[in-house]
Amino acid sequence: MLLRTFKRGGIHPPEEKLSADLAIEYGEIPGSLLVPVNQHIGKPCNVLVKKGTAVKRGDVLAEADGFVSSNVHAPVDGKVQKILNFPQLGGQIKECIQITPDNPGESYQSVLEGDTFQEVDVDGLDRDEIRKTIAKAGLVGMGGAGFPTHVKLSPPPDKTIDTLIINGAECEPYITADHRLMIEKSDELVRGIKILQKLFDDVMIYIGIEENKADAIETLEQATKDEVKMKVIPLKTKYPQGGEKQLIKAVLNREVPSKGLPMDVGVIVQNVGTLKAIYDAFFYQRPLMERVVTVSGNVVKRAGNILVPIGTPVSYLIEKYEIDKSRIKRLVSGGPMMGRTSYSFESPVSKTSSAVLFFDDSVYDTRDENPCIRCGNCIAVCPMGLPVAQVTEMIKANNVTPDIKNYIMDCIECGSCSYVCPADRRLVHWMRFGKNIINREN
Amino acid sequence: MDASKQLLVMDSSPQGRVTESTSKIMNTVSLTLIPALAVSVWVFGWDAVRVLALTSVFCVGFEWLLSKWVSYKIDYMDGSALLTGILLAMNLPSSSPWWLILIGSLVAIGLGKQVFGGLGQNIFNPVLVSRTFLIISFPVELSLWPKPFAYDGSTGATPLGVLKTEGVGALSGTSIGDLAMGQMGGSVGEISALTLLLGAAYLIYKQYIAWEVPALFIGTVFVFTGIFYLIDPTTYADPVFHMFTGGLFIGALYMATDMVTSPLTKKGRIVFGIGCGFFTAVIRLFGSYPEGVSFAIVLMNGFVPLLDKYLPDKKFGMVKNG
Repeated sequence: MLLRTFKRGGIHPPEEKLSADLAIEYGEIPGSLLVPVNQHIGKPCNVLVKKGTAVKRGDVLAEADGFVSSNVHAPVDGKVQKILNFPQLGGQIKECIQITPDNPGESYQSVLEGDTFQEVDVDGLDRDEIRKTIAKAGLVGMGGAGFPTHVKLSPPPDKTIDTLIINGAECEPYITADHRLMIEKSDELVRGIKILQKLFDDVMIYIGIEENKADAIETLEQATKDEVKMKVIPLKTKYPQGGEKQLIKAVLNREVPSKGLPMDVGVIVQNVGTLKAIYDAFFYQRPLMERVVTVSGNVVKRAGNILVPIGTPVSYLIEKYEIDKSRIKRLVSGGPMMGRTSYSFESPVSKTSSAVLFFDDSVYDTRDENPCIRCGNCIAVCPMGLPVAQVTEMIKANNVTPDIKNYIMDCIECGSCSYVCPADRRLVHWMRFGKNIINREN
Repeated sequence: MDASKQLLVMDSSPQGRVTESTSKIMNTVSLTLIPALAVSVWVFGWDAVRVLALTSVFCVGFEWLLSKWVSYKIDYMDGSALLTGILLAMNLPSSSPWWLILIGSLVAIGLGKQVFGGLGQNIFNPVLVSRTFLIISFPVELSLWPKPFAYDGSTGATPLGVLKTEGVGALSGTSIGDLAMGQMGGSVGEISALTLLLGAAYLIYKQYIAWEVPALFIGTVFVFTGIFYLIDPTTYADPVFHMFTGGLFIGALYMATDMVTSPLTKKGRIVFGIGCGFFTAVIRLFGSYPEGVSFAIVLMNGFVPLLDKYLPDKKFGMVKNG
């Protein structure tokens, strides 16, 4: 069978999905949680608690400020210990609310089992009500970007949405969090999708899954077999297929215009993890307080997928998975292709942490850049069709002309160029540097 | 180590890369030239080895000397200077005197590569800069081509030279099979089309060179000379002869495909290949030199910045809004 994929560029790094066959396990409530105040793209939220406030699980810790913003909830019962600035997974320093839980060591599974399921009449839901519930639950895109979900689901009236794509591509190496969700929570996902279906007239749903997750494709085909307007689309395994623009091209062969958004071609893309969170928000009235994190890398003895409350520090995962701390050289949040490094073992898991990876020097070691030999590989693999070699030279020369700006702003920072460069040039890094130059000018 | 004092590496993504490197590419290209060099030694004897050893030592040596002198970093052992040396040897007659090789190496490394700022910065193929420099400056030395299997220093004209000076009638005795195997006069490495093709096929498989350039280069020469052969077979040689003589194969497979001096994009490479073939055929048919491959490639090298600028790949999302 000829599988769909995007045509332009792309690479196929070793998949290393070590935890693909490992069921999602449940963590315990750690001794201390650091809940980041801002886990989304948009306006920072207002902190509602102060030192010493006693909080119940589900209480709003920080409230969305304006439309493009997102609530943050207390993941456990406890007391606010401190509000402090702390390095995040990804390296930035952000405001965090430190919570000392009432019941440290309690299984998170038993906490979740305490929530009561409540049947919802999906057909009776009002569109504004749906958006409001999603906004209240603090949902953000859980694939990594963290854009508030209710904003994404509120396109301006002049844009007609005819297709919803559920992103189950998970094209990054190592990460299997979405993969496991699709296998273990397929019915929940379908019910979540049905809620989104209510938001738009006559909308078609495609679930894009790469062929290396054959079991997920099968499970979801089974779960959607009675749904006329839902279809699972198996995709050829290729990075960066999980990028919105590439996924839309692969599934629908529609091309999002340069500087445009998916809604410009009538599409909204939602991540599998977000769908599960939508299900929880409606059927359990449970705001976004936990997520599945893949723990993997080349220094872990055993990899795994674990459901932990948001704010759980990395040190908890290190302990739980008995990782030899002295061997860790790189702590990466997200996949190896786009993930960022961090420097503190106490950094917390946030709404967007799909994976925490632990590496030593053997997988990748920084080397000096060598001269470009103009092999053209960076251009051949660029999924956005950018002349990477020339653009990065111009950025390095601080010569960012309007033409070059257009190229830079189209970069999706997938890192395929750096990955294939034989001269060890940090091409995607220079692209980001170029974006910073442009942002400074504005 | 005390785990609490352990430093983690902060780095930009991606946390991984291919196992390719500049020196791996350069050394692989050099290795694929071994079959062609073996044929040269078979046809021209130990003189071919002498030329090869001298160019290699001189080219790496000059790069080492320059690395002491210039302000930027030169990695003279990255394999690129060695590859330049090997390719230069393949472009010289096996009878070349040592001083000619010395000058040629200096021109290749100095004028061809380092004056532009070193690896990756040069506009023209260093080996061909050197070869054209030598052809123009030392026409006598560069027209004394050792006879195949003579091993005694006797020289003669190349098949293309015979064609240029005596016309198509003088070629009646040559067999295409002999030409393809390399049994003809010529420079050290240009003679055996088949072994060059073998080496280049591996490079295309490894994606170190783009197939578009050699295919269109050789194809254009074949078509262009073929048209004139059809018009007047008594004046013009047949296209198969043109394909297997001179430096067409080494030029198309190893010179025009040089990453540094060929276009970055597929569209650019197509135009580049056709251009090289066109100018080669024009010089061979109407020029005063019997052979035009090196001139054609150097000429097209000059167009590469323009091709890169005006024939970029299509950017994703260049569609009408909505």
